[in-house]
Amino acid sequence: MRLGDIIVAVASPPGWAARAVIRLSGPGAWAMLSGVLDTAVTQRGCRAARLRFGPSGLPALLLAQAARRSYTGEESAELVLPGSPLLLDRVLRMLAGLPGARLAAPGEFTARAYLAGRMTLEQAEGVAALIAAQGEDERASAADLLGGEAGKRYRDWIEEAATLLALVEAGIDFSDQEDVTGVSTSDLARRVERLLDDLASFAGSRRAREAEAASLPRVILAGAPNAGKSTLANALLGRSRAVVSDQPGTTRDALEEVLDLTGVIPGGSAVLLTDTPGIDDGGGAIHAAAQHAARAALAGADLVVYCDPLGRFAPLPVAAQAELRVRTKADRVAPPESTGLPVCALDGWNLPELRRQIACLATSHRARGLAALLPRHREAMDRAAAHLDGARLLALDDAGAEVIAGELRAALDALGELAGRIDPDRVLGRVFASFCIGK
Amino acid sequence: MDQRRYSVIVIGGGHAGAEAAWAAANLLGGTGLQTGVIALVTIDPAKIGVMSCNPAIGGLAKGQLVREIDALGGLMGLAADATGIQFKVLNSSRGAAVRGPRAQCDKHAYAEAVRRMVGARPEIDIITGTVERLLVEDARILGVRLGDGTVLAAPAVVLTTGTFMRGLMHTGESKTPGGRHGEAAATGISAALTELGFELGRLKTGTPPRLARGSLRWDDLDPALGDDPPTPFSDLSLGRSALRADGSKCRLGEPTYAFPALPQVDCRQTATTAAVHDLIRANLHRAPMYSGQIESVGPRYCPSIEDKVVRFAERGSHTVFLEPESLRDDWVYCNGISTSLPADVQDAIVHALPGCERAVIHRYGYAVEYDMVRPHQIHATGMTKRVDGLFLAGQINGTSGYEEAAAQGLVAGVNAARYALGQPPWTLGRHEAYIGVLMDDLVTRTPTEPYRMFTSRAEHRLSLRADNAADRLTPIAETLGLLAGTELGRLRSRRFTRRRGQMGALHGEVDAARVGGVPMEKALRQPGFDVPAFQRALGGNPARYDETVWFSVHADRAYAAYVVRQHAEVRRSAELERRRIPARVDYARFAALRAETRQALSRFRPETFGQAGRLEGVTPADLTLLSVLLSRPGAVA
Repeated sequence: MRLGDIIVAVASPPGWAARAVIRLSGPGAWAMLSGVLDTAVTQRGCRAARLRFGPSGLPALLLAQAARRSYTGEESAELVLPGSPLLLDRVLRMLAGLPGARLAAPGEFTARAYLAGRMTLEQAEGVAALIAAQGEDERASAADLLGGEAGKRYRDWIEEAATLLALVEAGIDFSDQEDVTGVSTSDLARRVERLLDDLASFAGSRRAREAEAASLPRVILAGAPNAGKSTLANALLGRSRAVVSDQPGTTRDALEEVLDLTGVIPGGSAVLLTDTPGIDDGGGAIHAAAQHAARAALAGADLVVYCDPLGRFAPLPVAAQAELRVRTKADRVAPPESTGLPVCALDGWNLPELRRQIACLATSHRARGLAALLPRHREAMDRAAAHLDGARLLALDDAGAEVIAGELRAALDALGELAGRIDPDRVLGRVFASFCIGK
Repeated sequence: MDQRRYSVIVIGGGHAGAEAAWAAANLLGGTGLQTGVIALVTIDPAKIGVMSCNPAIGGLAKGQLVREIDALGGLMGLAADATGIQFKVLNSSRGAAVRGPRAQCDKHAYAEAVRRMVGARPEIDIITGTVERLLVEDARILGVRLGDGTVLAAPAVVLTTGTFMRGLMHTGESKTPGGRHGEAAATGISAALTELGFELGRLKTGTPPRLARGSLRWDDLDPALGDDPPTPFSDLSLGRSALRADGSKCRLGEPTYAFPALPQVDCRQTATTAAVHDLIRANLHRAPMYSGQIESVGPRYCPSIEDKVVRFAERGSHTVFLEPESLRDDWVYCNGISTSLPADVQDAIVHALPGCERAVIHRYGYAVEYDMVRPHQIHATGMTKRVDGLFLAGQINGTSGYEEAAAQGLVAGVNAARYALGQPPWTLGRHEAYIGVLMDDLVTRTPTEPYRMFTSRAEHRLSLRADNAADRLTPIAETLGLLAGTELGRLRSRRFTRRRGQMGALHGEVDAARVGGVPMEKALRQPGFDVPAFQRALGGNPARYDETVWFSVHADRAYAAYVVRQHAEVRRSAELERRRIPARVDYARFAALRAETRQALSRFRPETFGQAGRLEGVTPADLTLLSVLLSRPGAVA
């Protein structure tokens, strides 16, 4: 951790909201902000300002804190901005790209506050645990991401960048070897361009948007077949999406929708609502695939809304992080000894209370981890693309291999932040694997 | 019992040991400590400076190391210049940053030069003996006891065992204990180190057969030529040199030798054939690497011919360079067929090489296995973390190559002398020198093969050029006091002062000049704007500056844009490199760290946050956490 840097992060919860907060801390933070605001930040306090961003600028509320009084003990500021995740992400990357600034590491604001002596000994006891937990959240999110489609793409890019670098390095470090034929600059430029196209297409693709949605807390509707989950989902979403029937097992695949709960409680966020096929231990093999999907969804959930019209709630086959019990079809007479929040999707009884409870319970550690992780990934991809483009231009210019290699190395290091660093030794390993080296 | 006191004891007279003794002598001599302050202990003084394998110095990345050693007042570059019989700058068609000067030396003359240079230093006593015990008390070295009972006492000991620690040589099925052909192994030291708690590993390296030149059809083979004119390693070898051809020093005013000192020779090349490959395949079961007789790991970059044939089965032929080893004898080094196959198979292989049908083999190739100390147990100064005052350098740290050994010898020698004087440790950063990259890699990585330098290991390679080694390091050598004590050192200082003046003046001319309407500095960034074009564009008599100065200013400016970016990154990371981690931290108590991170930290015991960040399994978030944990009251025992 570099203490001299200005660190930047989103301080509000992930997802859509009326307002969101970006926080900055570090020596020179005010001067840096002055460069992108329509006003110079010279004293502490709160005032309206415009961020030089986009064609017409962006209205922002600025809270400036002097080093003496701030949380971190450093010159700090907070920017209150419209709470669109996409907008926030762009502003964040713009700020983190300014000279001397970068995205904060997990727990870094707290660590700085601690190191500046801003905490009592009692508070300090929890600091390490907090930082470790935030780091763990991000690691878990990263593992999630890497296990999926995005991870595969990341690894493909790294593979290609490492191969290209190995080809260029072979022509430098092993030019005295008979077996080594370096890559021609025109071939190199072509392959780099292909890699760049791939990076660019990913940035605007469905996969990237899916990753975005994945940063929301996941709420799963679970329960026996025909427990009324899909009807409840439609009622919560305020529209008809899932095919509803009174036949058990109508919902075969897990269906995902974004449910906006921002206005329900202060600080509420959007959640990702997943309607699953009913969990049916006695069911036949024909449902096996659907059942597997349902269990996987349960395991990954931040909140399980367990639906049971009988209010009995037999233990779920997979333990959930948080569970909210709902007695569905509450227009029917309550069976004796039934429990759970009674809700009727048809007449809307207790629906507002259900929304409120979901908004309260659906705070996601992984979602927070991912929300912190994704901007870093996008920033790393931007950086990788910039260096790849540099390498491409140098190759077209027939520049020296050592200069091209510098750009490729920088690109590979940036990509390495997504899915694991390839150090020089492993690049050399590729050279040794493809060329017969050794006199 | 006989006991003698020294400031520094160096054990081993190979390339690490000789350079360590030389550097310690430079430093202690400069402080006024003159005679008999350094003991160089060797099994056989006649073997000091011997080139066990290929009698060549330098090459890609290695040439940069030699230039750096030279800029710091070391001996390797001088000895190579005085004894080289073929010089060649590798990658001479590429940019300045990746050119690597290389020389083939007369192996007898080279070893003699090293012996003479070391032997001429009044600061150094050469002592014949084997070390039986390291005398250690309270985790501090006190000295060593030799096989004959002699005790040498010193606050600092540099251990350079090369391939001699439990060395075992293999040729086919035959195994001979020894560190080098015809020389005994050192058996006591491994046990002594294990007893002190060091974790040892085992590595393997190999060497090819040597042939009699008169038995080859030399003149029928394709020649491989050196550069004409040749380029020396040392700036001191330019113009008039301070060294005579035999390596002894000239006195001031005495006529000096002109580089190159020895007649230059041609090499020859031949190639393996399908018949050779068939022979090898048919006899693989007799190769120690394949029969299971050798289990330790050899280098990927220097495979044996049996490895090449197995791993690259599709290739029908491999080039073999035939390199004369000396002007005084007819030995020829068979570069490209390092092997440990049995003698009768080696005979058949060699005789199947075109031009070598009647070759007489002077010495068969062999593989040698030896013990090393896993290098996470040393600091970047070469001093062990376990025993204060004990330094390790060379192959004992898992490296290969004369240049890598000498570089570590220099670092350990300087630091041993500073330790003896009570001065703080000295290290070079990764951005300052290949030597810095080497030491940092050793203390932050887990080697899986003998470590060799490559330019791709240096992230700041554009500024770590062979040509600017003096600009980077000679001022540091002056500050350390490595140049003050000897005539050679003072000559180096004077030469450097002259160079610095010229560099400044030429850079000044560049700043003021324009070419074709654009500033000269812009023109210098264009690929294709070479040194002659630069000289023409600036006009005037080019002889007003040395050729090397034209070259370096041209390179400085050609890379300027990239180097500026790297410097910014270096400045940003400087804080991490400066922030120290206390030596005695009980990482096991830091439950908040992941197990993987705790393990890496307790094994490597990094000295700075910078080092910690380069360990595998340590993330930026771990560093944040670590800085919090370390600042808690009672964190450090």
